[in-house]
Amino acid sequence: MQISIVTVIDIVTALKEGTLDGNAYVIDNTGPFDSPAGPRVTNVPGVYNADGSQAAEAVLNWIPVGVGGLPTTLPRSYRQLFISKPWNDRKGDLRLRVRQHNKVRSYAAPLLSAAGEVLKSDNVAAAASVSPVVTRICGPAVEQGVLYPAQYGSPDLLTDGWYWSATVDTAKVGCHDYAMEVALYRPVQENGDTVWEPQFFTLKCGLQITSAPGVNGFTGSFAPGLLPVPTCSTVAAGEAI
Amino acid sequence: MTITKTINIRMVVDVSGALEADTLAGYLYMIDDNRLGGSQNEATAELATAVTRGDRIIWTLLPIECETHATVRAIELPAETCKVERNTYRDSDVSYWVGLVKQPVGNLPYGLTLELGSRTRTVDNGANPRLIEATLQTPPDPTQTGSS
Repeated sequence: MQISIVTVIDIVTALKEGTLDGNAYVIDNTGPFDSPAGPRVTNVPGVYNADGSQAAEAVLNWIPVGVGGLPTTLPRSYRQLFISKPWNDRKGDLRLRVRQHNKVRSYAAPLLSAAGEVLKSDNVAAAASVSPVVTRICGPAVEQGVLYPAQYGSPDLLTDGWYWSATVDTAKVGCHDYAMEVALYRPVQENGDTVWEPQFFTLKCGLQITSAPGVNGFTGSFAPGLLPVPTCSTVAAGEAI
Repeated sequence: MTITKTINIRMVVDVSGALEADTLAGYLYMIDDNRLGGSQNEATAELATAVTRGDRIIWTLLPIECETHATVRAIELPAETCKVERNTYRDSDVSYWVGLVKQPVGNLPYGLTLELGSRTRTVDNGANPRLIEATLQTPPDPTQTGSS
């Protein structure tokens, strides 16, 4: 089962208050938001076969988004459309300079509001348009071999950064804690230029792993069995139906 | 009318869950960035967004499973109070909705219809969002510097 964990962040308020508490919402596709296990806890249904073997793996994918960011359904290169004129004439104002690992990298593409408007990069409120980046998945669930996270994708702020994915050992039934480390970017002035610097936050989350026997969706049986395809006496073995 | 502030509303929908249950209740999560201005019920389908006259609202929709179709078919608000329109991002078919608050909203429920799974299937029940009058005044939005 593929489980998407979307973390929606009110970036400007989180930067202002210095915390993700009350400013980040962890949403997934495994059931209603108010999980019996509490908020920020993802339900992971483990399924086993009649013989006790594991029936399917659970895979988690973490997707961080800002409340005021562009929809992720737009092409990843969408901002590149705005490099051309008339924005190019003011490139000095609009170019985004981002500090990463003690180096400053320039992006030719500008920041865009949720309505697709070009924003000046020296604007504090433009932080809402800089995508949050998950930098690490860690904590007890990783240390105890419940979660096996790995990082995929491109290390590019403007293409939503790296993304994290993990497989889950669903044999480890119960509630397991983990931590999601997130970088939000804030503008600082440096030698007359605006540089966006990461500020790191940690969000405590959990997994509630349950276990249940697999059920044949067609027959309701606990055994895999055969699909309820009507018999066809006129078809010989090996022939196409 | 001069825009005093932009308030973003991000909607996240579990498409398959909403289609299976034929309701948005429990499968739609609405979040805005004006909690400090008085918004309530964040991350529910009953989001109450605090606004004041002159505010601009931008609604965007994100399906949890990115390979599924989800878009906003309609947002229904009285035009004399909040004029809404559907826009499309440049060179794409991805849409967003914009509303301009023209007069005090009081406590104003609004209708929401989502297209889910396909362009012909809509779900409009189970969500009860509303606009409420902002209780706190926040500084004007300095982001109004450019346009697409």
